[in-house]
Amino acid sequence: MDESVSVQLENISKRYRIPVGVDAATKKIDTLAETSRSILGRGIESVKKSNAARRKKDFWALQDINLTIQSGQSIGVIGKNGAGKSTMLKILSRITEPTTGRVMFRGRVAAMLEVGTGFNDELTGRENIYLNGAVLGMRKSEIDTKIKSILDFAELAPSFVESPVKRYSSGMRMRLGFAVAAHLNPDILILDEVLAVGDAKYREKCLDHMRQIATSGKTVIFVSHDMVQVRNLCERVVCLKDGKIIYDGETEGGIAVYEGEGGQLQAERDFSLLRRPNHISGCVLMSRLKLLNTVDCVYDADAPIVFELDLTCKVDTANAGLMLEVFGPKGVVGLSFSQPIPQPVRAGERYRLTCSFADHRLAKGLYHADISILTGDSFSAINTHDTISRAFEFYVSPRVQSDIQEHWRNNWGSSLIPPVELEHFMRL
Amino acid sequence: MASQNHSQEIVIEANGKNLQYWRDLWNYRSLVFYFAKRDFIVRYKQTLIGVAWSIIQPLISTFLMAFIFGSLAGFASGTNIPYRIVVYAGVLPWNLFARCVSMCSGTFGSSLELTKKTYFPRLIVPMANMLTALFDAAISYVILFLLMGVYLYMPPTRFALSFLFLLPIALLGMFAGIILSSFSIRWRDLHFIVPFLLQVGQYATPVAYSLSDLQKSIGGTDFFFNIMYYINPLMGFQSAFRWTVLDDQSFDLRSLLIGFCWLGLIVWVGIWRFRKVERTFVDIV
Repeated sequence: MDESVSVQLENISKRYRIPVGVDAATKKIDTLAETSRSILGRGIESVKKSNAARRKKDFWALQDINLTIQSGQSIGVIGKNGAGKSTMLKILSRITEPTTGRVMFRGRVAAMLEVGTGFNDELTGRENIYLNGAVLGMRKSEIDTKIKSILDFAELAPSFVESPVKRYSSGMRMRLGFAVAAHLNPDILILDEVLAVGDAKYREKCLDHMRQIATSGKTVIFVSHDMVQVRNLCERVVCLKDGKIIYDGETEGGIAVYEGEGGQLQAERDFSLLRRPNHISGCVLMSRLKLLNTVDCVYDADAPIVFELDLTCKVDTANAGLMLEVFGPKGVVGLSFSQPIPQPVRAGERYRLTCSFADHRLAKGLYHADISILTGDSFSAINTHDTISRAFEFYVSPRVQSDIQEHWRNNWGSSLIPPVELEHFMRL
Repeated sequence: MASQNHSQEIVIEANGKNLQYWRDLWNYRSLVFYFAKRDFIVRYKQTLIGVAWSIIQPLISTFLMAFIFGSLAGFASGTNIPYRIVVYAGVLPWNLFARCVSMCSGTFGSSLELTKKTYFPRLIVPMANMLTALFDAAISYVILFLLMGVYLYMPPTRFALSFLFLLPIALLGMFAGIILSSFSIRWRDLHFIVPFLLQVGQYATPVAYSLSDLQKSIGGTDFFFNIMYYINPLMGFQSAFRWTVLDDQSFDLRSLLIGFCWLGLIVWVGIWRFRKVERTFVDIV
């Protein structure tokens, strides 16, 4: 493994077996009594039957995850509920084993999934610091040297240090838990969304501390739903969906993917069953769109955007054209173009056209595009054959090189209309 | 994780190698003491009479059993050692065993909250339980000394060896508990049966009487009778412990060797079951 690599995941998959069948919903717990009752009462056959009812279905919570994290990088893992975040967290923190693949860590690892794991109510604050520290992998000598700093960080009143934790307020408890975890000093820190502890002031202190860790050359893996925290802490984001990585790259892009997910941030869409507005003629309909040169709908600032659009012709139409409007993050028009379709289209035929806009000069951000098929131009009456708003969405990453665009405000786009090329038109 | 070595590598693998596990176990060894200490402190903080309880309870059961077996059943006439000491020499190792079994049989349940939130080799939990039980056994020794003082009984010099037999007894209890625990994930009501099993075991093992007493009173050549005792895994260590305390016992090498065979088997099965369940139980419960 390369020296600069801190964490490496290779082909990580995790399978859960979910019970299916009649009994699955009601029968959650087996008891010896039940099993023996069914053996005695109805014979071995019924046990076999109940075993059959206990059939399991495979569910892959993670599928073939490959990820390399450089030393010192702070990476956010985001995704909707059920995307596989928690499973990934559990595998990285070694709570559960992967079904396939391997993870390699270089250096001391600490995972924080909960504040105050293993605190015991009867023990005093001091005793719990030692217990919790040991659970998190600290040595006694290490805790001995850090205990004063831990107590200071927790901001406990001195009288509480020697009293049992059951007498603590919930805030004090969490502060103590966080204070212990904050003194772990690992090379690789795995964090769940545990930062929201205590009052606003203390929370700020915790966030500051996390930021310090993230910028001090430690590797941080942060699993969260809170995009504000992710923005604050992470320089790189991995977005998960259905157990797969759908985005891996710069933070804003990942957040856009996360926020756009469930919307139209899909590289391929089927329009055939989509409801259309009433005013369209329906002579030529769009049936499918595919963004060709991307998987996750994220483009570098310099990359051309290429898409493929399938048309189904219902009525013979000549002089049809394609109109595309791209809107920026707040509905501001980013760019718009129209392009004639080079030949008349005939009823009953299907066509595919491939378009690209290269030098689009869009600033970073999330964009969506409306597409219409029209006949006529701005000088005559326009006949709209088909129109789809938000036909596709995409995200433009910021330029990598230091460029004047870097200093632009987030939502500014380019007003330059790029040359559009219809690359290809064919009958299917 | 506990290591200070910065260039160390940790590898998590599907069906991970055992070597890493045992290395982790060593790295986390201090956790055994912290868990044991926690259990110990908590137990004595919660109860009003504290440490006194762990003295009173075995004393009462000793006196009761001494009355039943010594006076009513008449075993006391066979020896000139104070019968309460005879009984206590059986109660001490038995209590150690029983405590290990009952605590370790709850391993997967009791540490669930912790194991869902953090990693450590799970074998730490029953090991800590065993250590707590050994602490209790140490307290029991104090009572044994007191009894010897009260009845002016001078143990044989081999009494110094008695400590040696506590560890195999504790290990036997721990791994028997682990095996029960591994099955209690599938059958949740198993832990109701454990106290009952222990109670039966207490009578099936010569706790309140010695095997030679029983042989004398039934007629010692009964083949079936011998088998019954020799297949008892605890038997060998139990009678070896009594041998160190009571000067009228003879050393039974055969039963001790059988005991070690049982120990090896139960530890092996225990580790196998534990590792098997440990890998997946977080996903199941």
